[in-house]
Amino acid sequence: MNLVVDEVVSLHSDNLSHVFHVPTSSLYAMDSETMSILEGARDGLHTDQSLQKLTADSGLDPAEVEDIIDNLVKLRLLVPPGETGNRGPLADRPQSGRSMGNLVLHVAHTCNLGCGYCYAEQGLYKGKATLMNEERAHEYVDWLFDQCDPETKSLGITFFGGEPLLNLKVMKSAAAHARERADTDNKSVRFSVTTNGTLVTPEIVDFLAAIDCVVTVSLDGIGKTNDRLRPFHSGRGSYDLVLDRIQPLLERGKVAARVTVTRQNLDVVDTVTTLLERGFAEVGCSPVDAKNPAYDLRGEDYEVLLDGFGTLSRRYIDEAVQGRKYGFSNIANIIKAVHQGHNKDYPCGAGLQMVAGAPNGEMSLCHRFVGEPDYVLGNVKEGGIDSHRRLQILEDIQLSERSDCSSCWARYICSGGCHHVNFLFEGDPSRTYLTHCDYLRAWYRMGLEAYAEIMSRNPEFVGEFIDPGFLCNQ
Amino acid sequence: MSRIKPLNIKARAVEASTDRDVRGYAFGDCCASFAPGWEVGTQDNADPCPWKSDLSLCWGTCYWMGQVPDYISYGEWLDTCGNIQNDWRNLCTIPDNG
Ligand code: SF4
Ligand code: SF4
Repeated sequence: MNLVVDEVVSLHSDNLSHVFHVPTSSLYAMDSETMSILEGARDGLHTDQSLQKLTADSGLDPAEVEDIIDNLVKLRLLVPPGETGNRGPLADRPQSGRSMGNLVLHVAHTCNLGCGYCYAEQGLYKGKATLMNEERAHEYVDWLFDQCDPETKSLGITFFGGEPLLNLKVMKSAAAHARERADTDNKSVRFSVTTNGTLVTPEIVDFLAAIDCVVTVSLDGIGKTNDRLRPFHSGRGSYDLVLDRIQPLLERGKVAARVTVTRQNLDVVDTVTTLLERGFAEVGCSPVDAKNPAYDLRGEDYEVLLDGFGTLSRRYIDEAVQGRKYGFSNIANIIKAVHQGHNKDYPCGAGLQMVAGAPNGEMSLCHRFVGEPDYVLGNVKEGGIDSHRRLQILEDIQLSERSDCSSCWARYICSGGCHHVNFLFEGDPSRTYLTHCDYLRAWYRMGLEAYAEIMSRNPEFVGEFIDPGFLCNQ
Repeated sequence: MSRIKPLNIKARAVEASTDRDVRGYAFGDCCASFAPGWEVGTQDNADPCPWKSDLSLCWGTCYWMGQVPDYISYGEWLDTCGNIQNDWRNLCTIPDNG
């Protein structure tokens, strides 16, 4: 007998014990006897004496202990000393050579709002105010369809900016062209748009409905809180106007709100609650990406944020137990990741499945990297992505290259965090911005606990809302 | 395993892989036994089954030439597969040298 406990995170709640196996992202519920055997083996079971001691401490009979250990070994929670940390075949393989399925089309590099924290500098992305022309937009659409694998049946186009609705004409034309291409190529195309909502008109509502576009409206708080953060260039606030203009969209359903959380709007509970009451289908919060002391979160701010996330997650769980879905998208996303057991080398699809296209034809790792010369993957005017360059960047930013993350239990779910946050704060997307890691880990733990609780109190919820068709009792 | 319940998809996959772990016992060399080969081994290179990586192990020592391309005519057949665990999809059993 020579066994050690592999890398695990134990989660205790009222009457169940759960264990998350880090190398494979597997989550188990276990009874208290099994948990105590696993905990008791923390220092290793190196000799028959250590096994005898464990058996004596557990108060179980030796055959039962043997059976428990056998099962723990089968599930690789207990392993021979040289075999810890093995991801085995369960790691999600990065598809670094595959075609792109999603294009973020920067139709307008300009904005009618002047949010102080904007990483794109009011939409300019280190350049001059520009609108994408129609010809360029069509080139992008054609590139997306031309490079796509025959197996890919569904493509996505996101209209982005600056404020994309400032270039409605090109949005319409690009959407029409994409639909034509989809018809000819026998594929489908999904549209989404991220907008500040100030320019929405009845005509735009009809257009977005006609292309079945998923709409995300950026709002950073309620009333004056939003107005301080998201003013027009004149200084006037935008909240009342936005809510008024998007009312017909809200009535159609399917509108999400996106809240950029800064030091100045940490009350996420109030923001999320109020926006859901106003008719948004879901609300997601994302810490600001600014490198500006007036906005950036620091230690105590992360605690306030986590506290708020905790309250909202509790609501999500309580609703889930009743078989209803609460529209707090952060926890919904993490529950999905835990359910699938994400075990990834990359945190997101940037450069893998998704690329951003700027008005001048430059294609970047993702929307936030637009305007950064080192992260340009190619130019749509010159045939699109340079696959060599793409692989080079992807190799650079993958998790296995990151010693900072190598001892973090959350590494295969988090996969090193947003490349752009790392780039902004550490000067290089391949270096980890460790400042927010305690927050990230606490948040992932909350997600594991939420999933474990839902699976024990109402597992059907997962089959209904998280993974349609998933059979919980198999 | 009534005491442990796999919850998420990965946990179910681990449990399922324990059920189909059909490693056998050899009487000599890899072909004399019911050796499942690396593709069903559950732990790749760290699998305790000595035949877990029969491809990379066999080419050196196995007498059963039919299992792998011969290394003299196809010197590079394993080149794209430096690490079985990560690169096995790149393996080509008969390389296209033409
Ligand atoms: S939490 Fe931090 S250390 Fe852990 S994987 Fe994410 S970025 Fe890396
Ligand atoms: S790098 Fe960051 S901003 Fe870009 S797609 Fe990934 S998570 Fe999103």
